[in-house]
Amino acid sequence: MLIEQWLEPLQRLLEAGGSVLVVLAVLAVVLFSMALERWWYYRVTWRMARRSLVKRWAAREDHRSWSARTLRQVWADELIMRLRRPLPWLKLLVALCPLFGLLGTVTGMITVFDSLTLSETHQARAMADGVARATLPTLTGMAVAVVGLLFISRLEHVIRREDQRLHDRLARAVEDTHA
Amino acid sequence: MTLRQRLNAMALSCLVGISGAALSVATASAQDEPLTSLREAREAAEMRDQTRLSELLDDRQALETALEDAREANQQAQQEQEALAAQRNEQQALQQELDARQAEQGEDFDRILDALARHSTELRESLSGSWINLGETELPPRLDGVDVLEGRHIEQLFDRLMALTAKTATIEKQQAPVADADGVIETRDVIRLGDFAAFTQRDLLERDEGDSTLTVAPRTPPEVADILSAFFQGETRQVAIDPTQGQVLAALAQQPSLLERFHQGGAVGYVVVALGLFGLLVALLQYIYLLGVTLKVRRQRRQLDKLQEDNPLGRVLLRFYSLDNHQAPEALEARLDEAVLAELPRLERGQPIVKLLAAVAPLLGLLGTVTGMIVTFQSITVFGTGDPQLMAGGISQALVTTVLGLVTAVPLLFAQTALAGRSRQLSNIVEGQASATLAEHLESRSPYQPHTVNRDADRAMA
Repeated sequence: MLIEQWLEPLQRLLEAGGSVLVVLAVLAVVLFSMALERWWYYRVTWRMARRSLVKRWAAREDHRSWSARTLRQVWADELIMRLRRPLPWLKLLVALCPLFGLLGTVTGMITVFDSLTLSETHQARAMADGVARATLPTLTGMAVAVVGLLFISRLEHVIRREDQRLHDRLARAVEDTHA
Repeated sequence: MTLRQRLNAMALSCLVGISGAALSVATASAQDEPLTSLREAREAAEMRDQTRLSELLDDRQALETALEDAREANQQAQQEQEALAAQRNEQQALQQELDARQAEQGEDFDRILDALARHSTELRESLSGSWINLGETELPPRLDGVDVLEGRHIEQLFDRLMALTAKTATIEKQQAPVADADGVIETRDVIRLGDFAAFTQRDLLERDEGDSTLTVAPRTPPEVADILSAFFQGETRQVAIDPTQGQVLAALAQQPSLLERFHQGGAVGYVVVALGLFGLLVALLQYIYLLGVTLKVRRQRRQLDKLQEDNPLGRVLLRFYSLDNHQAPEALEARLDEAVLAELPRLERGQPIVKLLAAVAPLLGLLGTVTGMIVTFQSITVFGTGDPQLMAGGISQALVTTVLGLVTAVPLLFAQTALAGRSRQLSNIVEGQASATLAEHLESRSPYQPHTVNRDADRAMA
């Protein structure tokens, strides 16, 4: 009962906005769950992986030769790549949001013109339904895209910082073992 | 004396007439006889007439009786004339009385009669296309030809109206000839729902104004058809009606299907979709190729001691092992990079075209929008803004091409991301593995020899 009450505005929104809103909602859910997954990965898995890499690097005897530096670079790149892997997909989803918003707008416009053709009279009421259908998806698409952009810029920032920090940690680990 | 003279004259003229008749008979009968016999006959007839005249003049008694008869007839006629005049006076009086009464009340009755006649005609017209006269219902009587209003006219109109009103509240099943979409007329079971609708087992019906034949509605939506057939079989009490008397049905018939919408896009729409399909095909082929390469690279990494030519990693490593090993590490790295770089184009093949098409599709959609707008404005120039239906063609072209452009761009973007992700992953693996191999190689040359590097590198890649 309570859930129905809570869901009612959502249902009305979907009725007003048409099926494109459903697609946008799915898109938003995927986008946010991916962002959440990244956050979880960064908080838990990433730290463990970083620690084990630092340990492995420190366990090596040779740290200064060219080959050692190459290996360090390869390992660090590998780890950073794992952190970066879903970024293109996040970017894709963010790019899709305005596209779908526009799609909803255009289909809504088609609804408007259909109702215009059918009703023949210049009734504002006949158009109102289609106008809601035209404007709501754009609004939703923009909103989701903006939030997604925030996620992306934050993630990129994290990746850049972690790249530097990883190298710092590796260098410091060597200093500690040699000291 | 005057009477006598008149009678004589009458008799004479009578005789002349007879002789004329005889003459004509004689001429008719003697047409082919000689002229002499004709004259003889005429003379004989004249002689006979003379004798008859003299006989009549001599017979006085006969003349007297004839005169008496004539007098009697005259008297009778005079009596008759008097009676008729009396009757006429009587009727004139009656007419005056009636005129007076009509002048007193007639105007009101005329007005009522006019209103009744008008209403009955209007009713007949408005009911001609209605569902309630589907069976053998009688419409209200026509009152146009009636001169004088009578009570039964009002009663008839009222009764019919009541009967029709009662009929709007009933649901009837009956048999009626129905024309289907091909124009074949068959007698089918029809359910009539009051004044709202009539339908057969699967189709809503419509009828033309004034024409009594039923036709199947051009497009009955499938869900409505399901409801109707369920109602027909008595499984449900739910039923679909068109409360606008056929307007919604007409609208449904006008509403284009998805395929028709696609065709509304016109040439631009076709181009957009064709480009999109081409891009998707390219992306699919390249992705299948990349999947194969991934499998081969994975197998290669499991057995690094058995290098094979069929994958980029194997090729790069073979190239590396074929090099002169005693070079500076920087030179070796440069060679290695070169080998990796040579592998990249094959991995990144197809990506530019998919990316280009993904960018071009919305642009082409925009192009279609603009051309559709041009069509719209041309139609406005020609026909004016009065009828929005005339503009609808151009507008739907404009909107449909935009939709097609966007819908085409979405899968292309997906494909491009998938391609880029996989090719990047592959190139990273090749590059990393090659670098690791180089490092291992160099370390095996150097004084301290940790032989674990290879396994380390493997673990790092895994």
